[in-house]
Amino acid sequence: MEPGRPDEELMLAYGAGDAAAFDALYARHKGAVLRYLRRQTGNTALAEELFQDVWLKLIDARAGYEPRAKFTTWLFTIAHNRLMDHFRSSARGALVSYEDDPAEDVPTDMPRPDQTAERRETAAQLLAAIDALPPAQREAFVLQQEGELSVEEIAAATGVNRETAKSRLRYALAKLRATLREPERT
Amino acid sequence: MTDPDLRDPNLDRAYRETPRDEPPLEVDERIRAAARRAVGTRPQSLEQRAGDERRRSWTSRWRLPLSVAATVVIAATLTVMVQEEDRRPRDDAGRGAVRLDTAPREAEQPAAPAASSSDAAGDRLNQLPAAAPAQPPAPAPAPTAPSVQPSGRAALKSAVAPEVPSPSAPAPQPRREERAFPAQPPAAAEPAPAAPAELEMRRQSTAPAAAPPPTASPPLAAPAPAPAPPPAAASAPAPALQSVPAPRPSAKAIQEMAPAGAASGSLRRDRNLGDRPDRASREASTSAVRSPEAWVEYIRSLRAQGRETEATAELADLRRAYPDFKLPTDLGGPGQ
Repeated sequence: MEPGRPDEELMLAYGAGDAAAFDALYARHKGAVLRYLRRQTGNTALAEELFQDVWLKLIDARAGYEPRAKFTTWLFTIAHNRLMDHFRSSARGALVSYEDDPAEDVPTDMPRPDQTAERRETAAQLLAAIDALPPAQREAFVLQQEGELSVEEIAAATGVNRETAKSRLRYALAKLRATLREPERT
Repeated sequence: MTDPDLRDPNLDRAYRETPRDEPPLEVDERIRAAARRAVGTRPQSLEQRAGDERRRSWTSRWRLPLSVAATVVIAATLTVMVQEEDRRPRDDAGRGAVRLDTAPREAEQPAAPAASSSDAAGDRLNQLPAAAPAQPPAPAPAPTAPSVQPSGRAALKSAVAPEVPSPSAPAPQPRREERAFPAQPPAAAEPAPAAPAELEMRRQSTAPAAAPPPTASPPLAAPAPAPAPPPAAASAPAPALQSVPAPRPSAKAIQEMAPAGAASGSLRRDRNLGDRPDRASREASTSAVRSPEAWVEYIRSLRAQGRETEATAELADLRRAYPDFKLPTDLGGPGQ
């Protein structure tokens, strides 16, 4: 590991042939990328397959890498694009749900956490609530959480404008807050 | 950038409680292997990687100290080499100067470049016999000068030739030479019988500092700042030798004068220098500044003083320096 070096520097070093720099980058971000893909696909095996594709794309793109943006923005852009490619080529129709952003469509079948549940249970409830979010909102929230991306960076990674990304994120947060508050009310 | 309402600490905390899934090890290895293949490095096992890490940490830890140590060693070696290199020509020049500045020295005039630069020169000049006469410098250039090696030539120039001291010319007066010349008794105690008339002539040609009586002369302690024009200086009395600017005779004049100036100081110097290890360079320098005829005269003067040992040594040097030179009969040769 090279704890002190920024991601961008590591990526440049890898592009220059430093395999250890890639190892450091990979160790730093592999979990976030995998969780993002798993949240978006809902399938562990598929997520791992896409996960490998994402990193292989990064390896292929190493020579042309230019640190014009944060490395994680670039990394999650690759992940997002790979995910879109998968949705386009699959019969799942996820692309429709990405474009069809039901802003006010608060899921009714969202699991309600038990009032006496432990925090772990709360987390599980949250995961369930995240899974129940529309894909675009879910993506915005997961990118915020896993990638530590700002609204602008989410917009860049997902190829939408800032307002769209902001709107998606705001709706996602509102729904998740509501999900977490509901048990307290009841 | 990010609105506050777009971040919920409770949600952040709750999300951090969710399982932190990681890819399986085989996926890790596959991706890492692909990354290494892409940059042309061999996949490494964990042990190899740990060993590399240890080696890298060792090299990175010792890189700076080793670099510094190597730099210091190289710098010290270079310094010693440069000093040795400097000393060698200076020794040669010193030899030349000893021979060549015999006349000025005997004329109570220190060799200007030597005296003007270092305390060593001053010390050495302190040891010079004070009563030796001077001889006006001859204008002709030294005929043997071109044969002198470059370093010796530079020293020769600074010691003898220039009428005006060159600021860039080094003063060829190393400490070693200083050691080689023990304190000399005043010339009065050991008079040079070689050429009294010449002594007188040299004294007249001495710079404004034309010497007071030898016995009253204090030792030369101060470097001579600049040479004085001999003719103008001849009549000007000098209060003390310390302030005497040293006119420098030309190489030719020195060649002629050197053997004749068989003062005891010169003799001792020659003898002492003869004990040096760099005899070859000394001889080269000597032969470069002294003609065999002058040398013969010098040897004769040694014999006239009863210094047989030194005369024999000088004769041997002469033979070595001029193997083809036919020695006169009084020096053991068949005659010229």
